This record gives sequence, structure tokens and C-alpha cells, in this order.
Amino acid sequence: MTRSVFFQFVARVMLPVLLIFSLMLMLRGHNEAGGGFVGGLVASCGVMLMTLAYGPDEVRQRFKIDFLRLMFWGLLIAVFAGVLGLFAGGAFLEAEWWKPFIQGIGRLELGTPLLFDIGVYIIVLSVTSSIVMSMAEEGERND
Amino acid sequence: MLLFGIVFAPAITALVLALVPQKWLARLTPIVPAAIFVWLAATQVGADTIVTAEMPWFPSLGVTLSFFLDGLGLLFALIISGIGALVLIYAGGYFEKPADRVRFSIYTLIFMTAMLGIVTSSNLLLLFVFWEITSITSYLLIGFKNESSAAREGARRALLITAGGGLALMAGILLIGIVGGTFDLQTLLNNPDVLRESGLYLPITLLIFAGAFTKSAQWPLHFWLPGAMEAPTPASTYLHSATMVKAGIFLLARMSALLNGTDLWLYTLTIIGLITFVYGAIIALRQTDLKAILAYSTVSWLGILVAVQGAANEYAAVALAVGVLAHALYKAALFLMVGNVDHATHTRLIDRVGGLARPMPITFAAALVASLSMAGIPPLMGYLSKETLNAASVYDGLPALLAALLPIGVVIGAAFTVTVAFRVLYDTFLKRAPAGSDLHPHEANIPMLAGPVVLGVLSLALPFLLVPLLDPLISQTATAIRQTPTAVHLHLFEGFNTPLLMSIIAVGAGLLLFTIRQPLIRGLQKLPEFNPVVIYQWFFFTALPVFADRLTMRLQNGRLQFYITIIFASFITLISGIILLARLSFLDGDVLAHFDWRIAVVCLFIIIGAVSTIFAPTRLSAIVVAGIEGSLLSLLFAIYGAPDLAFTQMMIEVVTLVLFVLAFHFLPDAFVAQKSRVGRALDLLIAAGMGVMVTLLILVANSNQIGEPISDWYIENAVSLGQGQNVVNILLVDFRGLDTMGEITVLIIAAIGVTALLRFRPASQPRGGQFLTKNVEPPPEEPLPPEDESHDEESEEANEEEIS
Repeated sequence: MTRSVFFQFVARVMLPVLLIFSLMLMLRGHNEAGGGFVGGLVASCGVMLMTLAYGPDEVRQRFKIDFLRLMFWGLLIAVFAGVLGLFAGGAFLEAEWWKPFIQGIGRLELGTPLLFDIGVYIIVLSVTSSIVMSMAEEGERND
Repeated sequence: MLLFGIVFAPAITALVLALVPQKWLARLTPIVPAAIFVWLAATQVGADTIVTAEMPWFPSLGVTLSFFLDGLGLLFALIISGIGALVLIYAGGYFEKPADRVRFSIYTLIFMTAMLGIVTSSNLLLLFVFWEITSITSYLLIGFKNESSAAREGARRALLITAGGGLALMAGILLIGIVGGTFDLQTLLNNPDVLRESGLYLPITLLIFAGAFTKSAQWPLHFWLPGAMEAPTPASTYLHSATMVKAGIFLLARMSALLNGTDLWLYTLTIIGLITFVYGAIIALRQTDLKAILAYSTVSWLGILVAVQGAANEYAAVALAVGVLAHALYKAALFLMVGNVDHATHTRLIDRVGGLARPMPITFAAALVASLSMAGIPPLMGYLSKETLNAASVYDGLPALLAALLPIGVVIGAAFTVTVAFRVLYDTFLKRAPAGSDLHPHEANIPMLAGPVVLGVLSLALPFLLVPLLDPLISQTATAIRQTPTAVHLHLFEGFNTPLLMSIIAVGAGLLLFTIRQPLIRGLQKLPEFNPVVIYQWFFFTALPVFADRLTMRLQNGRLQFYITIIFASFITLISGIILLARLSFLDGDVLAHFDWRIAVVCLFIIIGAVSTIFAPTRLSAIVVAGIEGSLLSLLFAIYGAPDLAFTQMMIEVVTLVLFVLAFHFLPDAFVAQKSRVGRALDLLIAAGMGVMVTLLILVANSNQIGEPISDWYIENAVSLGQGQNVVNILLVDFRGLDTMGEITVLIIAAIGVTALLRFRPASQPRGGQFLTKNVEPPPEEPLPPEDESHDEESEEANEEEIS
């Protein structure tokens, strides 16, 4: 497959933009439009762009991330968020909040739903990316 | 509470042993069952009260961990713990590799807990759980030498048959629970007529029979038991002779007070049991493998234990109790003896061994006592058992048919049993070793002698300890079986009566048959064998796979078009059926209440897009148009004030487009018409029907508001409970977090599936480019899962939004 240098440039510029945007989407999801699911999709768009521009092999080498493995970490985080509720005396997945006040920054709102959302984000990102990459790989092999 | 300890101590020991798989620890394991045995024998034999223990388990389902130890359970628990200890000791000498011994001990200890659980469970569901655990541990033990295909086959056969019977038992138990209103055995036994008087008596009894007959290897389902002889000999001794196969007998005895007294009970048990008794005894004679001989003679003895339960009178209860005990003692000793012979000579074929009495004197002595007991020679346990059995068979109250059949059957079966016993004893130990045989037999080591010797001593001594030990124990057991106080006084000699005469005839005939055994065995071996295993083989390995194959070929033929047709057609049928049957109205509400011209315009574009997709010349153009459709949909969401959905929908469209483009790599670009005009007309019909149904569904949902929409609750509580402003996201991660958990799990499974299909597909399958020429649909590497998933969520959320 021939690679377009222009496309590669765009992909490289877009990747950090998309990743930061996706993180922002995930973090603000609790109060404004966004969330782990759509955040994960945006992030996977970044990976997808890179895959289309550079080919799956190079992306694999550069990122050194095994998405198949990463998705289980995501699930683990989500389950852990659920178990935290259990430990706090509630039911599985019952939300627990922790709101420390930090001088100069303001009140942080940390809770198990956020942790759960991070799990969702990781899973959506890694599932989509792994499917895209394996399909792209299969395409390369046939060329 | 002590009862919990007794039941679970072996399993806990197994757990410890699994964590610390050391030889020295395995060596200590016999202490556990031995301690249980001593406690039971010291405190429970002759006790007046019944020990119970209870603990809630699933209170909402009425399942409690409740145990009780009555006379019946006590007899079996003594056998289980006593022989269990001997077998664990025996294993120390039998297995050469320490790892094997540890593994064997673990399985056996788990089995022991399961078996103790069966005989002491008060809750029937609990009994069922233990019942299934014995099937599984039996499977593991039969397949112990898992590198041997015969062992694997034997294990699978035993599991299929006994687990199948277990399913029947479960159905029976559930019916009992429905009829009796409780699963508690003690409660049921206090009100014993409730099952007999119900209309479900017949199915309950037949299902219980199915469970008992499969477990206790009754003809014609007996064939798994000889196959189970692939297990290591100590396992065969323990499971397939002394304890597990008697679980069916136990079940019948346990249920007897609830179900007996009918013709169904009387005739089924007596006739099936009698057939098994005579058949097993005759077939045992024609075997040449010592273990197979003992296996068939076990089948035979299980048959008589079933047969005597039919009449369910006092004599029958005594015959059952004494029979179970006597058989456990002598058959376990004989099995262990075969293990010693196998160990010493490396063969179990009766034609190859001989003259082992001299090199193996202690084994011989134990085998002598055991086989004489099996033959029913006084004054051994077997003799006592045969006397009680004969007495039960000539009981006055039997109907004419059985009064004639039962004594004759008992004598014939007993005669063959005598022949088998003498043959095993004589041909193994006394007959001259066959010429040219190259055996270098040696006496077994001490652990392997302990079992046979102890069991032999018990067979010999117990009949002389009638008053202090046996009478109270058998009385307790008979009382528990009949649920009426029964005092039993056994006697070694009761004067010249019919039972004694029957014994004499049986032994005489057996000896006569023994003298002519060579031609007899040859004759039997020539007989055509009706073996039900053929049916089993056909059913499980021809009929079922072929059926499954055909079904799969029909339904899972790999054509995505076909799948979609099936799914849509079912959807149309279901929805139209529900709407018609329930007479749902769909034009009640004001359909145009929220009419908005912007939406109408967007919808118009969507319709135009949908139609043009059909006429798109290439796949790529079709998918681009579909992508535009998706974008228009997200515009709809935006108009309705759902930025979350709109944004997510856009992202989904982007990802889907890329995935489709990647997938099209494997497909020809242009569509190829594969269907006839009729087929396409049908497709059109289904597509139109689908559209109509979805529209109807929306109208129905609009017109039939049953309860308050939950979306209001979500909006009200988002801040107070969910601590956030974005209701959609709080719904996803908090209110309905468990749903999301399920969905992300499905996502992962889908990703694994796609990866597996792409990476590990067989090399023979045609690769991408060849689809062009072959003109077949692609392998199902559709990128649908994530898309599907999100659509689900989308529609869910869309509903919420719409309602709000």
C-alpha cells in the first residue's frame, strides 16, 4: 500500500488533539455532554487515523500497546470501581464519592462512577482499535 | 454443627492438599475419614436421637444447608468413612508417583464429602447438588489415566449416563417441592402421604427411578459401570462398588416411605432389580478380566438391593441394610485384592494368573474370606445377608406373580453369584498357573494389605457381634427406611426354614455350575450379546451429532443475508402477533402533537437516502449514503436537544465507515445479483414489513403509556443521587451501571471473536481475493459488534430522551 505523506502528517498532528479532546470528553462527562463511551470512540479515531496512514505494523511498533490486553485492564478497572462500592458497605457498583478540597485548585469531585467511566473509555478505545488493526492487518496480508 | 464438620472435613482436607501437594500430607489424609468413622461408630450406633444441623443458604429460594443423620444415613456414612479411610491408605501403596497419589487423594476426599452430603442432606436440593458432585468426581477418577482413550471413553460414558439420570432426579425433586410445598426431607417424612395422594405421583416416581437406576447401574443402563473399571483400582473399590453406585439404592430407601406401597413401586423395582440381578450374575461369569467380573457381579448385587425394596416390608428393610453392609465389606476386599494381583503380576486376566496363594498368602487369606462371604457361606456377613434376603423374598404379603418370581430369581442369581465367587477365588489363587506364564508374583506392601485384611476381619467378626453392634445399627437403619420403629434381632441360625433351604440350593447349584464352568463359560461367551451400549453409542455419537450438524448447516450457513432474513421475519411475526393478540391500540395518542417542520425535512432526506442506498451501484457508494443517513439521524438527536446522542452517533458513523472500508477489501466492489426476481420480491416484502412493524411499534409505545416514565425520576435524582448534571452519562455509569458492565463485557467478547476469526482461521479457507471468483458471501468478520452495541445504547437513550 502506498502511503501519503500528507495524510501521515495530518494523522500525526491530529492524534494528540484527538487524545486530549477524548480525555476532556470523558472527564467532563458527568456534568456536560461527553462520557467514557464517546471519549473512547474519539480516541480510537486517532488510532484509526494512524493505522490508515502508517499501516498497522508501524502503529503496533510505535505504540507498543497490545489492545487485546488493554481491554481487560479496562474491564478490571470497571469491576474494581464496582467492588469499591461493595467495600464501602453498599451494593456492587453503588457510587461512592470523595471530594477533597485542594488549595488553589478548588474542590475535586472524585467518585467511583468516574473510575467506572475510565474503564469504559479504555474498553471502547481498545476494542475499536484492535478490531480496526486486525482488519487492516488482514488487508495488508492479502495485498 | 458437628455434622457440618463431618460432611465438609474431607473437602477441606482436599483443599489443603491441593494447596500443599506434598506426599507426607497425602499420607496423613486417611486420618480424617478414620476419625469420622470412629466418632460415628462410638456415638451414633444405638443412639436414640437424630443429629441435625442447619444453616441458611439461599433463604429466598427455600434452600438451607440442613443435614440430619438418621439410621439410614448412619449406615452409609459408616461405610463411606470406613472404606474411604482404607482406600486412602491403600492408595499410598498403589500409586508409584507421589503426584498421582496426591491427585487421587484430592478427588477421593471431594467425593467423600459429596457422598456424606448425599446420605445426610435433609434438603432435597442440597442432596441433588451432592449427587452431581459424585458424578463429576467419578468422571475425574474414571478418567484418572487421562492419556488412555479407553479411560476417557469410560469416564465420558459414566458421566453422560449418571448426569442424565441426575437431570431426571432434579426434575423429580422440583416436582416434589411443588407438591409437598417444601424441599425438606424431614418435613416431608412427617407427612408421608402427600406425594402418594397427588396427581403428580407417577411422574415423580418415574423421575426418581431414573435417577436411582442410572446411578446404581440397573439394567438396561448398567453398561457404564463395567466401562468405569478403567479407573484406578482403589477408585473402583470405593466409588464403583462400595459407595457411589449405592447412592441410587440409598435414594430409593430414602424416598421409600414417601413413595412406596403402590403397584408402580412394587412391580418396577422388583422386576427391574431381579432382571439386573440375574443378568449381572450370568454375564459376570463370562468375563475374563477380574475387574470386569467384579463389576458385573456388583451390577448384579445392586439389582437385588433394588428388587428387595419393592415390597417395602420389615424383612425387605432388614435385607437391604444387611445387604448393603455385607456387599460393601466383601466386594471392596475383592476389588482391593484384584489391585494387589494386578500390581504383582501386571495382568488382571483370569486366564493368565493362577497359583497365587503361595506367593501372596495374606492377600489370599483376605480374598478367601471375602469370596466365601460373597458366596454366602456361614458364618460370614454374606451368609447373614443372603438369609435376610431369602426371608424377604418369601414374604407372605407379596402378590402371586412376585411370590413365584422373586424366590426363583433370587436362587438363580445367588447360584451364579456362588459360581462367580468360587471362580474368582479358585482360578486366581489355587489353580495351577497357566503353562508358559512368566509371572513373578510377590506379596503386596503393607498399605495395600491393610484394606483387604481389615475388611476380611470385619466380614468374619461382625456376625459374632450381633447383639452389641449389628442389631442396633440394622434396627436404626430399618427404622429410618420404614419410618416406623423397628427392632431387629438377627440370628446366624434360625432353624431349618425356607430361607435356609434356599441358601442350600443356591450354594449346591453354584458348586455344580462351578465344576462345569469351563464349557459353561465358553457357551456363555458364544451367546449373542444384547448390549444397550450400542444404542448409547448410536444416540450420542451418531444421532445427536448428525442432528446438530444438519441443524447448524441450516441455520448457520454463513450467509449474512439469510441471518438477517430470519431475524427480520421473526421480528415481524412476533410484533404483529403481539399487536394482534393483545389488541393493542396504536392511534390513541395525538400522533402529531409534537410536530416540527425541521424534523419533517430531516426525515424526508433520510427517506430519500434510504431509497437511494438500494440503487447504489457499488458497496462503497452504498455505505457512504448509509453514513449520510447516520449523520442525518444525529441531526435529529440534536434538534431534540440530545447533544450527547448526536455526538456519539456521529462518532459511530465515522468508525463504522472506516471499518466498512477495511472490510470491503475482501469483497468485490460492485454488487452481484445473486437472487431471482421472486427472491428479491420476498426481500422487498420483508423489508417493507420491517418498516411497518417498527412504525407500529413506535405508535403503540406512544399510545399505551402504562406507568409513569422512569426518565422523570432519573432527571429529578441525577444531581441528588448521581451527583452530576449529565443525565445520560449518569444513567450509563451509575443508575444503570450494571447494564453498562454487561455491555462492555460483550464488547470485549466481540473483539476477541473478531480477532480470533481473522487471525486463527484455517489456512484452507479461501482468502480475500478469491471471493471475487467464488461469488460467495464473506466470512462473518463484520464490524458490527461495536456498532450494534452503540445503537442499542443509542436507542435506549433515545427513548429516554423522547419520553422526557
